[in-house]
Amino acid sequence: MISPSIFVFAPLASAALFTALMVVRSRNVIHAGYWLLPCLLAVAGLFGSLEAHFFVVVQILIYAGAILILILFALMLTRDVMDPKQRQTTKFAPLAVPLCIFVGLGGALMMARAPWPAIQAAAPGPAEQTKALGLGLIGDYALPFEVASLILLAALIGAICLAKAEKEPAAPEPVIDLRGEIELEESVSAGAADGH
Amino acid sequence: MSELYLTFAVFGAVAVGFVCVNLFIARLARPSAPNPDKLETYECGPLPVGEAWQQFNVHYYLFALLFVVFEVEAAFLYPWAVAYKQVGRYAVVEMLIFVAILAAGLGYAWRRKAIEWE
Amino acid sequence: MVIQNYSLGPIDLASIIPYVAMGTILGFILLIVPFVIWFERVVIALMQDRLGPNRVGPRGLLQTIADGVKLFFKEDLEPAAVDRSLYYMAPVLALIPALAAGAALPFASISLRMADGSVKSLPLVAGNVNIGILFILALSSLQVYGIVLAGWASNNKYSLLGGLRSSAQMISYELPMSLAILTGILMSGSLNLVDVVNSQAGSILDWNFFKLNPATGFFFPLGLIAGMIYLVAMVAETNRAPFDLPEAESELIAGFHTEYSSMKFAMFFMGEYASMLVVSGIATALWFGGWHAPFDFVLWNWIPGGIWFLAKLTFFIGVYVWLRATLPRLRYDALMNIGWKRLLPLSIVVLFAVATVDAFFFTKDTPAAISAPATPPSGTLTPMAAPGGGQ
Repeated sequence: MISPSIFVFAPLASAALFTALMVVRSRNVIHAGYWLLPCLLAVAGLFGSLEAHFFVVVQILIYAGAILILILFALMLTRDVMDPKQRQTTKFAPLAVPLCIFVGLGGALMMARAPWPAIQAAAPGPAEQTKALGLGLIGDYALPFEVASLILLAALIGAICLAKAEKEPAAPEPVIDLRGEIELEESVSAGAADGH
Repeated sequence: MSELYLTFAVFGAVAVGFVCVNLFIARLARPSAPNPDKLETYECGPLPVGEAWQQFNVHYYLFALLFVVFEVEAAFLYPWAVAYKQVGRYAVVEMLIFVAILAAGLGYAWRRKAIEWE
Repeated sequence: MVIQNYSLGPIDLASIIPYVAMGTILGFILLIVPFVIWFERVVIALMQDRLGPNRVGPRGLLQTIADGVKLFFKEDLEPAAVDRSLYYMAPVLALIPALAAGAALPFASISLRMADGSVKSLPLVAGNVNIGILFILALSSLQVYGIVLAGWASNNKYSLLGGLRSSAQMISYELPMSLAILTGILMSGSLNLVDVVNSQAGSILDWNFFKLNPATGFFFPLGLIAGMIYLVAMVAETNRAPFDLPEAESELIAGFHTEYSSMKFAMFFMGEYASMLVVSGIATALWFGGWHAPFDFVLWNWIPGGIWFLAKLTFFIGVYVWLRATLPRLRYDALMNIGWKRLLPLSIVVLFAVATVDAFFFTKDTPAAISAPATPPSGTLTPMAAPGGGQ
């Protein structure tokens, strides 16, 4: 009962798994960040094999094209970017092993037992999919869609506050200095005026 | 549809092949006489000081985040663009609210001078 | 111009057209670059009142090829401090997105007389996809990695600065670019570039850039503004003058490719020109009527569409060169200001102006490509088989 789609799925899935493993295993954080690129593209390929064409575009555009850039910038912002000598694990690492096995096995068991519905009709074309998604956004799912913009706004304001907060404590000092200088200057000029 | 992805794959493969073939031919053709001075990182003459891999301006991160937010907005706009004609004015107003909320974010960034390069 | 649909056994002309298109666009992008560089040097020389290349070949036409051959024989210096794996990846990543984006670019249309006597118009495009413009956008968003990777891997302060600057610049201008493209899509009513081009058939007045034909749509100044936003963003996206800060030679030596020599450097060069060609091709298809002649005129309609496309492409390459010869490089803060404070708000306003005009004043028929089935969102989830297969 092997369908030909396995020949598309298997290489893509193993590529995604392998690159994800490399993300975790790389001791150089920048390399880890760049391993995410093929990983995200392999996931885009998986979307493609499911004929979810608009999601292929979104996966590449948002994840590979935007969020990965954000991650790379964040990595380059960290101290000791090129230090491969630091410990990669905490003391809880041994605990993670049974937990991972438990979660992995449990997930596999659930997926194996789930009654997966079989799709009979062919998927609609990419433009129809995109249009249906658009109709959903302005129709049935209008409220969640509008709320999504609030979440994005919150993320934006939060980031600005964080990035700008660093400079705030330093700000008052020059003001005090300046005021002192102005007072000094005023008194000097006043003195000069007196003497005149 | 699968031919489509195949087409993109062919284009990608041609690009990779093109670069590899060129670099390979160049490797055969070119001389190779490295010495420690040649392999020094170029820094206008003097010996380079330290490594380039250091922390840099937090501002780049802020721009990347702004970019992600607006890229997500753009990604929402595409399906809207093909669907709004069927719904009409209501759809335009709805998207206007969505974008106005994000534009408020841009305005806030503007006021806090977050999109000002220092 | 109608061509007979010749057939050889089971294979006829119509069925091989995608392969012809694929070969043409790949060959074109990869082989034309030396001549684009020659064109640039000659035109810049003209503008600066000098001779330009004139030694190798007739009118110096083979100069770039000679330069390329020279690069093959140049020693490749690979500094000891580089991050080797990433250092080798960068030139590859610089070329892939530029070339792959060409796959969804329609550049001509061909009319075939089928066996039953009907005439069929087939677009010349390697991968004809309903949402082609989205694929192009997605692929060009990957363009930034080649440069930022090169900057990082070189372990050179100037390279890193150039790479970072470039990445911030490219993401800043990607937003107005995609919003401007979206405006064009709204005006044409389709995500398929072939439909977009065909919606501009007729005359120069039907082109999205002008769009002042009351019969087919009147968006006059809006299309012009959105088109200009696209053109500015396109120059910035390809890191060309006056937006060539990533390789500002007066402050950053050569920017991100300071540590690249020999053929690896040539690959970056190649990638830059390939992406110039692709974004110019998109500009042609989206704003300037693609392969359609500027006036509906018998003699002009006889000129094959590919020639018109090529002529428009050449015009945009000429604009690139013209800008480079004319404008000084922008300061970095000015660059970011233009991107975020001018182009981005403007492109949002124009987008909604077009949508408002369209929704409130026009009741155009929805174009064929997206009108097909009016599927409600729940209808796309295809009927499922009876659940319970597992247990």
